[in-house]
This record gives sequence, C-alpha cells and structure tokens, in this order.
Amino acid sequence: MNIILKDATFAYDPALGDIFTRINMAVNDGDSLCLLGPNGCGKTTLLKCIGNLLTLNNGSILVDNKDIRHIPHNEIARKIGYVPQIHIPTFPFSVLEMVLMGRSPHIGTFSAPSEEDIQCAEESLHTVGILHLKNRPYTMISGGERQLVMFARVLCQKPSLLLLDEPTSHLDYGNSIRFLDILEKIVTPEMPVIMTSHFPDHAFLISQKVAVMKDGNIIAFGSTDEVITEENLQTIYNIEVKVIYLDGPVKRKVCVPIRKSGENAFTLKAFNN
Amino acid sequence: MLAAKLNFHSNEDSSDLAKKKWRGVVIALIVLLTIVVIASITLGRYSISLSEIVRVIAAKVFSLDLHLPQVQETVVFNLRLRRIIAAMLVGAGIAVSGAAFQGVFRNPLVSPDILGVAAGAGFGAALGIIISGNIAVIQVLAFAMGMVAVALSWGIGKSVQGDSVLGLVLAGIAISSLFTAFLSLMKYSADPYEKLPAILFWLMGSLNKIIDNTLLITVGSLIIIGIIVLLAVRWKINVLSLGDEEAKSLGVNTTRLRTIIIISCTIVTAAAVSICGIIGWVGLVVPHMGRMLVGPCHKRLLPVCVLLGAIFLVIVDDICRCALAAELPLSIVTALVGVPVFLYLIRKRRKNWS
Repeated sequence: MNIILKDATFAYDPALGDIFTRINMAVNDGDSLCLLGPNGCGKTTLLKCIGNLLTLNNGSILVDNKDIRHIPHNEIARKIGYVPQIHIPTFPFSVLEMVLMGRSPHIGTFSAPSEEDIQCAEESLHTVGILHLKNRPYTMISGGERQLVMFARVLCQKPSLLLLDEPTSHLDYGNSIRFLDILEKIVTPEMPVIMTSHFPDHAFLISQKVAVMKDGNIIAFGSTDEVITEENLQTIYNIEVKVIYLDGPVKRKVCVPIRKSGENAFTLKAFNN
Repeated sequence: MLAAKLNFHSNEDSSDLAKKKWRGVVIALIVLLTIVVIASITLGRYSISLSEIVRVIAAKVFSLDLHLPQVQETVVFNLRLRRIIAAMLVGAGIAVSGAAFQGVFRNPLVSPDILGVAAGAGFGAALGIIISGNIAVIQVLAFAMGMVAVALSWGIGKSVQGDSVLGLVLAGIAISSLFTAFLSLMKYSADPYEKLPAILFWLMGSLNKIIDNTLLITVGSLIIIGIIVLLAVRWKINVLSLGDEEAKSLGVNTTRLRTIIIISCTIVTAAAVSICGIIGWVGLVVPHMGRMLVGPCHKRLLPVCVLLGAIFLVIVDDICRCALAAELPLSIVTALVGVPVFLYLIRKRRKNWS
C-alpha cells in the first residue's frame, strides 16, 4: 500500500499554532517506516492522521492514490490497523472479547462476531503467545500482556499496514525485546509497519526507512543507514551517540550514548542530593 | 497453525462455558419471568384462583363460552394483564436503554435520564395537566418534551464540544436543570387544590395510567422497536465503549452509531415515561445486576437486561398494587427496592464496573 502525504498540516487549535506544517512524504508499498523525534515533535499526531483518526487542516493524505477523507471508516480499518498507546477500558472485557473487537471492520453495524471471527481471534492470541489468557479480564493483566492483547487485536483485524504508537513504552526491558522479536516476525512486505519510537535502535531492528521529526517538520527521511547517523542523533536529541556495527550473534548497528566520566560523576552527585 | 486450529475445535474450553452459562441464565430468567407474570395475575384485591385465570384466558383466546362471570374477564384482561404487559415493556425498555447508555458514555453510573429525557417529559406532563388535564394530551406532551430535551442536549453538545461524549453529558446536565426549572415554574403557578397534586402524583410514577389497549399498543410498539434496534447494534456498543478514537480505528462510524443508540434509547425512555411517569433506578440497577450475572460484554448483557428489567418492574408494580390498601407510587418502590440492591452490588463486586 502506498501512503503519500502532500503538504500535510495539522493543528488541534489553529490559534495555538500547527503541530506539524507542510509535510511531504511517501511510504512505498512494502516499506516499513520508523518515526523518530523528541517528545512533543508531533509523531503521534502524524500517525493518527495517517490512520484517519484526526483530519488534516490542510494538504492531503493519499492511500493508494485515494484521498483518505473519501474512504469510509470501515474500509480504512480493513487496510490500516492502528495500535494505540494502551489504556484501561471502563468495562472489564475478557482478553478474547478485546481481541474479537479487531474483527469489527469486517462485521456490519447490526451483526455480531461469527464462529470464524472467534477462531481468528484465538489464532491471533496464539500467534503472540497468550492464548492461555483469553478468559482473563483485560483490566487485570499486566502492562506487557495488555500490549500483546492489543497486538493480537490488530492481527485479527488483518490490515495491510500496521500503525504502532510507541509500542514498547509500557514494557520492561525483557518484554520490549520479546515484543520486538514478535514484531520482527510479523512485519513483512505484505504487512509493513509505520511506528513511532523513542529508540533509534528500533529502526535498525524493524524498518527500512526512517523519518525524523523535529518541531513539526521532517528534518531527515531516507533509508535507516543513511538517516541514523551520529550527526543526526546529535541534532535530534542533543546528546552524543556512537553508532557501532556489532558483529557476532547480533549482526546489526546499535546506538550507544557517550557520557564523559566527569559529567557522570556530576549527575550522580546531583542525584544523591 | 493447523494443529492449533484443530486444538481449538476439539478442546471444549471456557469460552464455550461462558456461552453455556449465558444460555443457562437466559433460560432461567425466561422461566422466572413466566412464573412472576402468572403469580402477578393472581395478586390483587379481587381474589381469583389460578384455574379461574386459565379458564378466563382460554375462553378469550379460543372464543369459548364458559359462562364465566364478566368481572373475572375484566379483572384479568383490563386491570391486571394490561398492566403487567406495560410493566414488562417499560422495565425491559428502561433497563436496556440504561445498559446501552452506560456503554456509550463509558460510565457505569449513567442512567437513561442523562440527556434530560425525564426532566423534559416531567415538564411536558405538568404543562399538559395545567392546560387540559386530558390524559392523551398529557402523554403526548410528555413524550414530545422528552424528545425535545434530548434533541436540545444533543444539538448543544455537538456544537459546543465537537462530537464528544463530554460535550453531550455537560449539555445534558444543563438541559435537565433548565427543564427542571420549567417544571418548578409549572408547579408554582398551578392551582394548589387540583392541578398541583395531579402534577406531583404524575411525577411519582404509576402504571395505573394505561387506560386502554390502543395506548398500550402504540407505546408498546415504540418501546419494542427501540429495543430491537438496540439489540441489533449491541455488539458494536462494546467497540464504542473503548472510546471514540479506538472505535474509529476499528472502523466504527462513531457519530452514526452513537446517533442510532441515542435516538433508540430516547424513544424508548420517552415512551415509557410518558405513560407511567418518572421511574428512577431501573436503568441504573438492572444493568449492574446483569453484569454480575453474565459479565460486561454487551452482546450478552443486553438480552439479559431485557428479561431482568421486565421481571424487576413487574415485581415492583406488584408491591405498588398490593402492599397497602392504597396504591403506592412506582418511584418510591423502585428506590426502596433498587437502593438496597445497588448498595449490595457495589459492596459485593467492584471489579465489574470499576
């Protein structure tokens, strides 16, 4: 699926200024994209616009050359699966009921899920490895498990593009690595992903393309190797980072922040006070 | 994956158990409703036995001439059965509207009155009592003003806060207060010997206002149509209850679905309130009882609320008819029965609505 952004501009309240301004970008069929940028740069907002959860003030977003505003909600949801940052719903639906809601774009307003839908939901739970949780209330499982439930839900939605908003933000170190492993297996040219992240390492793991946002603009866009450079990371986050290729079992680039010993001592002292 | 698929089929797991449990609950409630209805026909000041009731009904249904006293037929059909049917419809309608509204507004403490339907209907009825006193005028005005109040809340909520639930709730609170003020004005200006007591009694609610079958059929069909629409969209209420953004990302046209639900609930509630006055608690308590029995999934919850609401109001109305020599108003008994049940539920199980 092709996604093309033309002069995309968005503001929650025009009086308070744009969140992002005149963004032009094209994500080709089969490419996965990682959106990086500091807090408050507009990554999540841009992702929501691509998922048609928010409407641009100016410009347009084309999905397979069709303006997203002219595509009905359920048709978009069959093509684009959006995974929000997790929150707890009002009602304690079971894990299976939560995942079943992923079938919603395939089920008419006046219908309910069929046996096949239930089976599809169970298969998705099996894929992410939490079928055993299916009858537990979604409100009473851990944050890591909730993230996996949301992921199972988007899988049974069967979209051709995934949108993930900081998918590892609520996960501990081990769970975020396990989650990325599952993600790596699922993301294919048939189902690519556009995800926001705070970790440039994620780009090396998952995506072919990287876009860097700062102050509502795209300041760098291109292949992961071109964009994730030491200079760019310095510009984005104002810290010094070393990008190193790790051989052995890893076989990919990693980012390592550099801190001078004096600075470290200072930070520790400040922390102790 | 294939092995896993086979496993899903051969393994009778607990989701099937949940389904079986739901079926069991529904069947038990249908049996209970039948028993309550039959028992309710026998209850009342004019004593009539079960076998006499069977004969009266058989005579009517099969057009037999069994030489039964005319008074028995009048009591069974015109006094008791009509009233029991009305209680079932009103109870079912208000309970199911309450459950649907709690889902739409993502808040288990919401009742069907949240958008001002009760305040509007109360004002409409008071207006009707003052300008005419004719029961048809009162009922039509109550229904119309209930609809007007919700339409105002909806329009204002939409224009003030975009298309959001918060805007609707705030507008609903404001419009309810406004119509309550209009109602107070009506009471204040009403003739204190004749009109004022009529207004007060109307507001306390009663099922003795269903005076003929035409009225019951008209109001009953409105309620039934509303219930059918709500039952048809019940699974999508789950998705809507996750919040607008998430529901949109799951392909739901939130504005359209919410409109369908609000219109259906309002027709049901306005119709119910217009024939029997203001009834509190049913729309709040019955959905909680339902969730205790079958969990929060609206696909299972709404049918259970239909049955539970019907049973609850038939029993409440029996108490109204039979507890004292004079008839008790509905709202007093719904609160006397509903409040203890509600307090028991929130003590017993917080997790199903926290």
